[in-house]
Amino acid sequence: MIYDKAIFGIYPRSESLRVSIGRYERGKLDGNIRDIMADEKRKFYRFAEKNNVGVAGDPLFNWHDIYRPLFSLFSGLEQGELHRYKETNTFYRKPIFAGDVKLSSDPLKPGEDEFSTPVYLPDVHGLRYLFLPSPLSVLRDAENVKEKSRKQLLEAFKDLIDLVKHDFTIFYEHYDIDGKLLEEISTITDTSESIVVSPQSNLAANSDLRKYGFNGIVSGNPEDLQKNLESSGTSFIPFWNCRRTSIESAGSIEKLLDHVKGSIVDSQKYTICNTDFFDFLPREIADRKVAFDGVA
Amino acid sequence: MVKFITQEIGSLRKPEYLSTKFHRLSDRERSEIAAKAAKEMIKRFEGIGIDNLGIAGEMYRWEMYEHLAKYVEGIKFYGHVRSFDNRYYLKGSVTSGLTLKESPHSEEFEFVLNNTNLDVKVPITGPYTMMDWSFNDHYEKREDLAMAFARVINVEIHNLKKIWQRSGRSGLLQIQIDEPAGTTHKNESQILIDSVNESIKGISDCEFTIHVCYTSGYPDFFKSVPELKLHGLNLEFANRDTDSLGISDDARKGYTYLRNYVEALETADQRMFMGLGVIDVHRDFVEPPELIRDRILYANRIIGDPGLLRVNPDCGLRTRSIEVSFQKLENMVNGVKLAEDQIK
Repeated sequence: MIYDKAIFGIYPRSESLRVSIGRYERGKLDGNIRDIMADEKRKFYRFAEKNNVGVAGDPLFNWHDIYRPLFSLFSGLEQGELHRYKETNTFYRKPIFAGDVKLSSDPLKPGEDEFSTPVYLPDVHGLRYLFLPSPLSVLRDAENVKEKSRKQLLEAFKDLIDLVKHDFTIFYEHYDIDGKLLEEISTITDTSESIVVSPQSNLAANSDLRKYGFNGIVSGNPEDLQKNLESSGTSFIPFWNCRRTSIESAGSIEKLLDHVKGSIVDSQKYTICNTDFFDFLPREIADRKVAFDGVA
Repeated sequence: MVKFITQEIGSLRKPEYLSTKFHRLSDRERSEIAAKAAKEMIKRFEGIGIDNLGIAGEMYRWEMYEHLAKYVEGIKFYGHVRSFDNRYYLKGSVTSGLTLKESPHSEEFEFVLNNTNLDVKVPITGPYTMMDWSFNDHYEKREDLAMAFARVINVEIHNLKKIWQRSGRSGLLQIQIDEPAGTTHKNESQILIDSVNESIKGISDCEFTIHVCYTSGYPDFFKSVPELKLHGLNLEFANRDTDSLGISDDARKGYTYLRNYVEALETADQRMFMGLGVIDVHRDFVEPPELIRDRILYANRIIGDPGLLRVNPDCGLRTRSIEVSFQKLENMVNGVKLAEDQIK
């Protein structure tokens, strides 16, 4: 059966990149961190291409966590203390609304801090996919959220999306995908060019998702698979478990796709993907998962 | 005359001669250099007059998860996983049933016992935290994995008890079960309780404590306390407190959860003591003795029984320099003296 692969979100740094960043932070790096990171990205894209990954957004090697770049892209949003990301041993800096929020930096222009400003390193890859945390996640995880915060944040997101001029926006929602989220996103961007990804969803009561016209609604909740497939322009099938190190077998994808084809929806082409970050895994395991079928 | 026991909680920063080449050393070389570092720390602990030096700053251990996991059969390591920013930890994957290969703590424990007359307390990473920080590719349920870790830890405590008995020391072997992840999953308090109790099951003549820190789940944790078969709780509080002097509720707002502790004691079988965190380990600010005194006086007023109070830092001081750490610890000891003088 024909299938494509998509990788969403932060991909784990290689051991050598991790060490280089550590040296950079201590002021002991020989070489330029931007060059090293660009080289790592080239390697990632070559790896993705070799392994039949059609949707490989930026691996976000320069993102320290899901919200970090927003702090320098948007004025009025500051980084707070460390908070546990869901129920993992991974942490993020809590966003704090500290004034009027608006887009204040050019996302395509490298800033002083390599780890906050640039959305993409421009010389490496075209701007096909822009990955962003969902604005509702930001609001739910933030402190000092005022009445005006939601409106301002959505406008800042809209300005960012309009400025980057990419092909598709991937919104990562780590709470439930629900109708409210889809409604909000539809106000800031063209939904036919948007993919919403979440490890979970709460769409059972939402009868008509098609009206939003999303390119993809992808949820880790297996019960929502049929609904999401019927409502999406692209048939995304959650496949990789990013909380386990065991490698999915080539047989398991055949079985999964047979099941989908036979009982859920009729499509000639599917895209298998992750709904959680590969960054929860060691790089070696993430690579082995992506290359599980030996497709090259 | 009131006497509050002062105790260390966990790790200190390693001297550079150890930290910069820890993973590149052979086992024999690492033992020698860790022993040298431990000896230096023991001398410093003795110099400031602390009662219990823990395990002398954990010079034999790189990191609390990795140290135990490396000695457990059934765990594979595939590489580092991010904790935050560019900080990573070596996260193990449980791929088969767990058994202890060899004792992770015996060498360190014996060395410290042989080189000081101060009281010693061995921190061991707890079964719930080990479970939560591992990939589970073998056990069906999380509770199964936690209990498997508990059985491993139980074997290790038996190992340490033999060393303790050989040493001829009087008193009880002190074991601190470290559970920083113990309150992170709200619906799993029973797994924490069962696995901690399983870790110490059938072992007598020991003093068992639990260390929990940086949690928003203290109210839930204290509900679990009566079911834990422990002798004491070593907890973080100073991080939540103000730097102002005084024993008002406003000045000592970091210690309000002590009321939950007092409530927990009402239904607990044992009068578990409170190891009170009075030093914030995440700041270089050196708490003056008077501030430490007031934190103790406030806690004593709420608890109403000085016999239930011990005094410690919030957590291990490894994020501070060695100099700052010992300044803080020395002030802690001096603050305790001020509190004792005021209560007597």
